[in-house]
Amino acid sequence: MPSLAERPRISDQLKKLGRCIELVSIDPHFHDVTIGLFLKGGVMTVWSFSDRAGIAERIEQIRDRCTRLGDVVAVDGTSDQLKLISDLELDRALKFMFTAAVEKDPARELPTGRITAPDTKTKLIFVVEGAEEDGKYVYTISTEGQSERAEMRVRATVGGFIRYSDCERIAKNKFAFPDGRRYDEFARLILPLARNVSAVESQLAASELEGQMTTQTLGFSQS
Amino acid sequence: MSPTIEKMKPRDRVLAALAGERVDRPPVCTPTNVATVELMDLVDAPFPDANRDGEMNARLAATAYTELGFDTIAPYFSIIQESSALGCDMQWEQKDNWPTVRMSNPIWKSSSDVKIPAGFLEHQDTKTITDSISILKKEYGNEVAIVGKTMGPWTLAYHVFGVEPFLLGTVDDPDETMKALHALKEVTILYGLAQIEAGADILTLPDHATGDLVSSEYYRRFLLEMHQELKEALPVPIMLHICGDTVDRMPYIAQTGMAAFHFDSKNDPADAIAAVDGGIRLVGNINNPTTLYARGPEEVRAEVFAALDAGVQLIGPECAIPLKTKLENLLEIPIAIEDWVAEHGEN
Repeated sequence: MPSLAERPRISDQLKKLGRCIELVSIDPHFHDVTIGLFLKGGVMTVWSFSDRAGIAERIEQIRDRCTRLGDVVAVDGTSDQLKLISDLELDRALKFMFTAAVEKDPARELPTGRITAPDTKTKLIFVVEGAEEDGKYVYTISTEGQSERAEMRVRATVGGFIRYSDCERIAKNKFAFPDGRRYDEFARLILPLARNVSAVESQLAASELEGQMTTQTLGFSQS
Repeated sequence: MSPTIEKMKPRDRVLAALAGERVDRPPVCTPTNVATVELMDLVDAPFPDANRDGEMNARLAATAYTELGFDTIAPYFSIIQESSALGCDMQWEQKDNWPTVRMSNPIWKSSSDVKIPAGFLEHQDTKTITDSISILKKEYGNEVAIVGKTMGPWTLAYHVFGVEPFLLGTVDDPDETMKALHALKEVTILYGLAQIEAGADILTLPDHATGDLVSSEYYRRFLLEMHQELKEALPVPIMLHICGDTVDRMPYIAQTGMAAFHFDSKNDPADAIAAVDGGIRLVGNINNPTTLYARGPEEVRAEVFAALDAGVQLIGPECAIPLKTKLENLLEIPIAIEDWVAEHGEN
């Protein structure tokens, strides 16, 4: 059997990496390896226990995608580390950012410009725009198109931002991040999730059941 | 446990605990799987291949000891190896999910259909485990307890007859059910003995007469005597595993003569200790879906302490861990045991 003696023990490695924020079990763009995002002392590290040829380049690619998907910046002189632009704890947003960075096709261009997303329940287009208001950076959600449910859909989408980014509701169509700062990339990332919380929650619940061995997942029970 | 006992080897610690003897500290025991997707990457042995290749299987299983610091190595990760060799329709899944039997497509209808195929022990999926045990025994057998696993007749019956037809049969024709269970029991014995011959020190025997499916009376009526027979037929310590709420049948389980019962977090450890009343040792019962999967080391530590405070003799996850379990949570189990012993002095 191959010796593991040359590798650092995982317990030592985890001490360096810190807490695991998110684990993507299969990277569909690199040999199905598992990639994790770890946090220690405000610095996040993208890490895999795989030593396949090319893993370092793939990790750098994921790290760089993260810096375009979320309000995070690369740590100078590293190829696997990044930091949030503030001290805010935004674990849920970071999880979504990281999962998207691993799972989305790296060849696909990421959206830029206006923050918009089509509603999944009407023909409306949501538009998110931010501006300073009373010392806070406040995001306003508006819609383009016609629907009798527009106001209700905007209100629900603000609720989605509260759920997934701990945002504060400023008005029925306005929200701000907890520290009142500007996070345009997270707003862009979260908008497609915030517009349909129930679907996202179902997807997350299904994902959590994968890999669990229970009487339900084994087919022994319906309860 | 006593301060006068010198530090024990993991294998000696586990076997002593299962025999009810004194130990230097409660063992970290894995009657079921502790492999994760990260460990699969570490040793390049991903699912499903690691369930179907003895060498890969051994590489992955060994990480329970080499990386996690557990006192046992348990190479049979899933619950389907025998059923595959019997001819069940399999769904092998991918790296991050469990292989399963397609029970909607059962292979048999009655006890008279039950036949162990020639070459059962040479089938790729049964041989994977015996090959792996041989490798592990050679590499680690002097140091660590090697835990085999042979599925009980009740679980095999779900796989070969389908859950619903089998359970309906227990109502419609209990005698026929007993015949089927007796016939399937031979599979349990055959595969258990093969693993013992390959080098298994201990066997886990899962038999899913779970609280959410059948009553304690069912356990007494259909399985108690059969489990006593299995204990006699398999000459190593046996850890019976049944998921779910099982406190109501623990007094019966305590009469099986088996070495230990691997129990679920749905059962309060103190209630479980009271229910078995010293008749059998307990292994468990750190919660998987909430604590090990979704929480952090602090919560893991609290559950380890709760189990030890209640008097649980061997500590481990309640069942096969979720494949995406964070390693930091698994690493906390042996640390928490050491700390508990340092605080309390004795078990």
